[in-house]
Amino acid sequence: MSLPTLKIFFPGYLLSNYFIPLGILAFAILFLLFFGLSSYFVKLLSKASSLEDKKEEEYDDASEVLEEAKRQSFGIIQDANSRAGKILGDANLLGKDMSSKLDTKAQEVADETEEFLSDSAENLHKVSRKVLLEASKENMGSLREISGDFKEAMSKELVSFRESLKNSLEESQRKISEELNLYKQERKDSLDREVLEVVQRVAKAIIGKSLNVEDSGDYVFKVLEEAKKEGIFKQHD
Amino acid sequence: MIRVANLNELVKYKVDLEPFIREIQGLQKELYAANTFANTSGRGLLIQRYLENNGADTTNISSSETGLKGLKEDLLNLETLTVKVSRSDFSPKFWEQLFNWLGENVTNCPFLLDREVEPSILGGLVVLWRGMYSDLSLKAKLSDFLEKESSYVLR
Repeated sequence: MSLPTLKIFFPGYLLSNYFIPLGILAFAILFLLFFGLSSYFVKLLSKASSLEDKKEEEYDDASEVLEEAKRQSFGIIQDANSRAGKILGDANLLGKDMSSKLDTKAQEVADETEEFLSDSAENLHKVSRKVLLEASKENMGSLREISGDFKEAMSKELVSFRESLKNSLEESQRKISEELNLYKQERKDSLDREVLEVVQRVAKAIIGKSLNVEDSGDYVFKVLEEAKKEGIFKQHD
Repeated sequence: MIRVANLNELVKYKVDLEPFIREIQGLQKELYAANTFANTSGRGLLIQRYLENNGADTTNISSSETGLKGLKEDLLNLETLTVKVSRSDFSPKFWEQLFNWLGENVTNCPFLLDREVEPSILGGLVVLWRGMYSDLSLKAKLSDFLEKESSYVLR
């Protein structure tokens, strides 16, 4: 038994008369496909570039706000320092040791605040960069939304930051003033005690020996007469 | 009621008040035992004269009793003026003069003088009367001086 023979027939137009038109058609389709894909690619590139620009713009805005906040904060610190300087300047009773101690303390407070401020500004920079980078992965709409929220949140944060910085400086100033007043009072009391002690010793050594009881009695009447002239007893007549 | 104009003829100093009150109480107890003022001396005699000068009949028990009761009350109601001085060796004459001066220039009414010694005031005196505090001591004057001249002293 023999197997039937398989015969394949190709139409004649595929091979001869239709080859050129079909080639041209295929080329046109491929060209159109290539053109479409190229256009889409260019459009995507343009979109990406625009997103990058927007990101940079937002980042610049945030940096400007931060710089302004930083500048204002340094202004507050300078103002606080000048006020602290005035307080120290007014303290004409201060000894050199205490003056230098308070001076150092004021400088320490200012340095700490400045350091805190720089760290905070740096952190805000980092946070803003991260947020903007994340936002750039999304579409433009999301970016606008996020950057708007971010701006608002950062603005609130900065207001609160300025407020807390101001409060912190005022608190430091108050503490320095209190410490200064306490020191002045202690120093004054101590001097009073020393002076009284000296006067008592002197009085005992000099007045006690030279001022007899009659002189003391005369002095009593002398001060009474003076008080009478000044009208001290009048309101109690 | 006994007039209080001469109460300070009987008692001047606060320290003398308590013994004087005891004396009056003693006289009150003895009123019915005998003719109380017949043989009195010292303070008793002073009290008798005082009562008589103020219109009481010391030969009458009832009048004497009323007079003594009123006198005791008035003495207990006397206001006290306190003075602080720096030394304890002032003479009785000094205190007498001081008492008179204060009566004429400060109180203008009978009062009891309470005398305190406080060496730390150095000299002069401190007067306390009806809520008034007048520090006329040498210590206060020195403090005033140091306060005014602190910029010089504390330099």
